[in-house]
Amino acid sequence: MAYGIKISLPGFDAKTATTEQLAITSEKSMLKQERKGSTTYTFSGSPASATILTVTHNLGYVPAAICSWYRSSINEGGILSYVEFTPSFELEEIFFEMTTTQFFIKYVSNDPTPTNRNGQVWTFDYTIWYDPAT
Amino acid sequence: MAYGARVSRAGFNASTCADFESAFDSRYPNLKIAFQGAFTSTSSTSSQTIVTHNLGYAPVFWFYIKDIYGTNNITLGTKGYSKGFRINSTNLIYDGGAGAVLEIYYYIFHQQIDQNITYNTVSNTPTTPSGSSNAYGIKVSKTGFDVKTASPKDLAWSSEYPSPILQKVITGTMTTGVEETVSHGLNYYPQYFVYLKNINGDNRWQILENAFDSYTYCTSSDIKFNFTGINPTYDYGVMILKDPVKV
Repeated sequence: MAYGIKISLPGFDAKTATTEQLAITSEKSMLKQERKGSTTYTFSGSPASATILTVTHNLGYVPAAICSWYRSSINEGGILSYVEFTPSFELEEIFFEMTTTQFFIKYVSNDPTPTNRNGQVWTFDYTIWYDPAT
Repeated sequence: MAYGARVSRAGFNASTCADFESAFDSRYPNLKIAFQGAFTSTSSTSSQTIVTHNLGYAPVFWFYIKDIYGTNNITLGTKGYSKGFRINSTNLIYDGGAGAVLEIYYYIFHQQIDQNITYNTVSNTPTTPSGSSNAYGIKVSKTGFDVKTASPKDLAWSSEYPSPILQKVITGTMTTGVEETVSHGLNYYPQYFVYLKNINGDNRWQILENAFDSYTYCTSSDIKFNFTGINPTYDYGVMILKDPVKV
């Protein structure tokens, strides 16, 4: 016999509600946070590349994750990856990626004369879930 | 009479915690996984079906992709790649535009992209965790696993491991090349995804990426985005989570 739990959103009957009308249901999985963290990075000079953060998770599989950026100096933020086309029309990226053991935030510029980010302060907030990405 | 339930994240008081400090609350939903899977494209330039979901509406999705043009590691599909992956009410497809073998891993959720909805806000004010060792909670295992012994990835959900919580979905129509602003109303920086419809003339939705023709960012009050395409206007859907980037 199958057991379970479901709780409906206000105004809906839990016995007849659709999945979308339920707050939670044991019939559907959700992403489960393994860890959450943040780091602040200050650019020095105009690097062609940089590893901003390395987190070792050692889950043994590539986990689902998400990462966001925030800059207090301009009061803006968003989901990584951050992509800009530089004055030389080359690609400049800040992005995150994962392996079976680690999570990285990286910066790469393909521009021989990269954007001058010297002194820019970026904050990154990341969440790694127990749920596999792969 | 209204009934309900609330479970806080470990260390927080369920009676007073902010919404983003709760694990579950019947006044607003968590993001529920509808489909999860892997797909490897062929090098054909023809459209390829990744998964037929048949939800009857265009659902929120995102995907991870092996970065074959970079490190071969797995990254979120929000740069360059995302243009080729689009969804409608029936299926998620890859349009073959890259003409390359791409390895992707997708998540599709029980949340409609193209329907305005705002869930309840109880509190946006962060609280201080008590650090109490008296941790209580609730957890549910996936089918076939014993909830008492299942590893975290084999649980359907657990109050010990927080899950994303929905705040709202905002839909509308933007003018090409003109920055669009939508208010999220959270008074902090939330996690979110922007989706645009019909960029490629197939009435499908795709993730708005940061690229030469588009961008998106948020402030503590708004989400802003822009796309310059060949159509005069584009329909959009913005899914906003209660989960903060920065409080």
